[in-house]
Amino acid sequence: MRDTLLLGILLLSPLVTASLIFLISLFFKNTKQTIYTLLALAGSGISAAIALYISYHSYFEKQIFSSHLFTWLNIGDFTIEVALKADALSSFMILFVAPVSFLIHIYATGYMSRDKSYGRFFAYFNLFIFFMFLLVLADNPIIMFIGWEGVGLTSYALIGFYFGDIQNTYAGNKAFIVNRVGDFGFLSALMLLFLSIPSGGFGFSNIFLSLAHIEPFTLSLIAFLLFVGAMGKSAQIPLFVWLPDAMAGPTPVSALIHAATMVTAGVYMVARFAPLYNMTPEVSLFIAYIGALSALFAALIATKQYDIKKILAYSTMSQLGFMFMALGVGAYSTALFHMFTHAFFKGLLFMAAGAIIVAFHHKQDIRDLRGIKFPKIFIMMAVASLTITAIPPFSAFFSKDAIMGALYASGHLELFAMAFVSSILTAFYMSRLMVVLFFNKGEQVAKESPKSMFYPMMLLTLLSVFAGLLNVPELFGGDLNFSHWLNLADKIYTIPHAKEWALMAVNTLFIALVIYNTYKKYAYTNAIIVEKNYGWVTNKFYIDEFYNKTVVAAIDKLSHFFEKTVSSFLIDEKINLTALAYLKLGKIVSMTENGNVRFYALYMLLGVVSGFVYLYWMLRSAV
Amino acid sequence: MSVLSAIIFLPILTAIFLFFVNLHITLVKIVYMISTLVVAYLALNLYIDFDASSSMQFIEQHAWISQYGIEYHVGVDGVSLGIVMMNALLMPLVAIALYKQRDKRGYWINLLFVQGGIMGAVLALDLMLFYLFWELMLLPIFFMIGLFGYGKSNFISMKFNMYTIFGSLMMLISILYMAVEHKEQFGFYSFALDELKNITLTTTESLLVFSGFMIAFGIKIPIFPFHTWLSDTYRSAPMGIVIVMSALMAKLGTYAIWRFLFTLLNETSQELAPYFIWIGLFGLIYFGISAITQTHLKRMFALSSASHLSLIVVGFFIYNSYGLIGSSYFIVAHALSSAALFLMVAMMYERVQTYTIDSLGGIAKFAPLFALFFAFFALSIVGVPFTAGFVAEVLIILGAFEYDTLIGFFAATSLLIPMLFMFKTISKVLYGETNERTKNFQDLRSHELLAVIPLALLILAMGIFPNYFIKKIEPTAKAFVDKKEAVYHE
Repeated sequence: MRDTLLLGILLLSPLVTASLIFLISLFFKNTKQTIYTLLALAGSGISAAIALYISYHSYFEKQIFSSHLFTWLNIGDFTIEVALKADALSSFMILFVAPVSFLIHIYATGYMSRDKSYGRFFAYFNLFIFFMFLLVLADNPIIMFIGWEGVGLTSYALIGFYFGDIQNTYAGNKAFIVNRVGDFGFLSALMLLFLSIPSGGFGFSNIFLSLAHIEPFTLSLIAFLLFVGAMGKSAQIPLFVWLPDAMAGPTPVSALIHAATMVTAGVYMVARFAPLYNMTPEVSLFIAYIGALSALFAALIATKQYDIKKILAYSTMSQLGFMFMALGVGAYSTALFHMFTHAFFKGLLFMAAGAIIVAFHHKQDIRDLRGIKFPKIFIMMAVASLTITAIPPFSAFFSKDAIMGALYASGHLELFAMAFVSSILTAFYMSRLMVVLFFNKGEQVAKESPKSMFYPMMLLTLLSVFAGLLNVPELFGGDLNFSHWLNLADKIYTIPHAKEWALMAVNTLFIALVIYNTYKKYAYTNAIIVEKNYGWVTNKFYIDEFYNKTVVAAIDKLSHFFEKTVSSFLIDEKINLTALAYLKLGKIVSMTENGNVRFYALYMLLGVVSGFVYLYWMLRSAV
Repeated sequence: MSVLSAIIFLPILTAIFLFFVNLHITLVKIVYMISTLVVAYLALNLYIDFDASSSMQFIEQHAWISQYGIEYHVGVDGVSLGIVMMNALLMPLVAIALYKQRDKRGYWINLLFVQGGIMGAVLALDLMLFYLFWELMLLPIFFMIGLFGYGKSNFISMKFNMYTIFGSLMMLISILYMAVEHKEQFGFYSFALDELKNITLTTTESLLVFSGFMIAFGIKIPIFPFHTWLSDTYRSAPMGIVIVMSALMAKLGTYAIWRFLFTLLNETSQELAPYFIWIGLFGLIYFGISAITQTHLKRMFALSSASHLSLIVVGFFIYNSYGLIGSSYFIVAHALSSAALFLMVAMMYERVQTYTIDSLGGIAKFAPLFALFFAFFALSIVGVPFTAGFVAEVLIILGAFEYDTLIGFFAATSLLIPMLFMFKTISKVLYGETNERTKNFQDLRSHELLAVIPLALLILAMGIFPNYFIKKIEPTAKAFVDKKEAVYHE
């Protein structure tokens, strides 16, 4: 009962407030913003409080919260319950999803305060959290899929939020369509999975118990198709193209949905299916390679971008690649821990970017923003940048270093090398961004950000710095609390402490060198202006153009071909011709009825003759 | 007289009454409303009284033309119940939404005829009775397109009728052939579904009889390659008829496959099932892709309907309970969504006087309610979660995977294809810059809201609590699947 109440309120408070905001904004045009603000914050605040309560009890008392709401479908063996369950993994997810959502909500009340569609924004925003909670709390994959599609849908609505420019809505369309390509895989996998397991419910625990009954090929196919879903949602090669365009949405959206929460759903899903992936090592390895390629590819593109949000978008894709590498070698809790720290520092980076964009009249090109004066934002952004580049002792140092360690220990040195290069590139593009923005001559001075934007960022700064302490490796005397809490089917990698020290030192040394060199290159110079801004990297390897020329154009051509050639020409015209032929035949036949009595006499004669002939034959055969 | 007969004949009698008594148009509309509301009320009672633990019920049977064994024989089961409910629900809503736009008596009289004809065809369990109603619902369509249509309406009306009458004749021949066979094998004529299924036919005979029925149903749905009447007819037909055709009549074709072909020629149907599954899957993709480059809203949605109907055909032909329940559910879900979407298009046309997608844009700026409902119904066609279509698609896809993995993958493309044109349409119609046509776009008025809100709520309810609705279909599905098992074990 207590569980149902807690989980129910956690889930429904964003939904109820979203609906209220929707109704109010549709039917009462002159509502004050305060009302929306109160409703929006109440919705996300209540769920954040409950989420913290649940994670506290899960972490310290190993409690599992579960609740069965109602039966969604029940046909013979096919029973889908709408059941929520906060086990360790789900509690861990809501531990960062809910508070980060709440902080970004507060930030958004400042960021969006001058927008006419303030109400609509928060209606979508709260709806998004509802679906996100449904996704992470669902106890069976079908309900998880509903949440999964739901977050995609709200993401679509929010990317196209400024719908006056149709390009923004096209960006939203692209995001949803590409995501649905992934969902195609996800749903197919679920169907195959459902048909492969013996009856007994489709809850996660029952699925994992039945995995041994599934034949290896089907199992690999399921694992692969599930990952196709993750590729779409988490923007991995080749389904990443929507993420950079998704930056068309308001910046709080980019911070919450396209950095901290929704895009990590793919990572969550793979971790959720860890028992499955442990049985399909070849698919896991594939995941690791896709992750490595994505990390490297995105980091490379980020080094040549100029739009502040696009740089961060590629950076998100790259960091997600790191997580998938870790997942692929079986270091599930390591990947999740990086996702945890990433939510804070990447959320913070986007929020800082948003503060800059608002303060400097919606300029987003770093070449126009050279040498801005914005001290408080600078400090916070600097912390976030140092965190993402994995400088000790910031949080991502622990999480990323754990990934590097796992990659090294897994024996896949090529993966390790790709991760290492990506992390060097990360250091480069982040310091390039920071140096160009803040270490250049420029006159632009910003007004202070509103308090509602400032304080959430402060909190996230602190979290970026200290969140790493929750999972300190043994090397520094920690005991990996998080990994023990999550209790996933991790592969345990141990490497000698000496090697671990060496890796860490080399890594950090290289990063520091890169930062120093970048500073030397870009600080107080016009290097960014004279930099070559054409070519493969700047143009993102022409991937978008490639997709447009091949997939999109092919579908259009096919559509024309079907409609014009097959339907109209091959089928319809032939049918019309048949009708016309009948018409002509009718004309010929009607010539016989020409009103000429002599002809009719002839017909009579013919009739009589043939009648006699018929009679003759009848009689003959009778004899 | 049972409730089913009342549901069938009330609209027909009202239509005849209105035809012969020359009332003022306002009174005609009022009588129309009363009649359809009574039907809706009766249907609602039927739904509540429908026993969710058995299949065929409310059977009514009278001798009619006894020397030929033709009977008045009607009954309802879980699958037909959905179509009856949709027919009863949509007719009053169409009038609520569009009553200001149409001031011709014939419009409303014909709609009543159609309603009665569809009810009769759905409920009939005697083949002759079914044929009668099947034809009865065509005539009003013919008149409506001819009288109230757009463009080359006479040509299109003629073409549509040639197509469908050709199909109907083929079906009539098959029906008569079976009746005569029954006389030869059992000594008396019969048109009853339950009795005709007992006759034995040679392979060739059953193939021919099957084709006769299938041509009629295939044209009506339409399945590839019988679809070329479709987009012109939709484009030309007045909206009331478009809604009836896409939401109800097309579904009737798929329903009739299941009701008649699967009962009468079970083994032949099962043998031919793989071919029709592939035709259906091909249609799903073919129509969906054809729709992408359409510039006329009604034509695009016509092809979109055809695409989904092909999926419904697949669901029936995969011959398992997931497929059957999924398809039955999809019939209702798609009826709701497509009717609602066409209503929105009609309201839009009243305001902007165009169906061309490229000449629209920016509607969301001044008409948030319109935009909300338009987007919602469009998304419900795409089958996003929380809408009825999602449940139905998941079930059909599950059934398809159970049948065969490859077919499952093809069926799952229904997640992708409708989206390709629907999202582009939403963007072009609702978003972007406003132009001359759309800058004074008036938001939904209260009577229009009254018509679309029930549809939206029902779509949501069916998407969130499907179990409540599916309970009524399940016994029918179970009976059907048991029967199929029986065939296998013989």
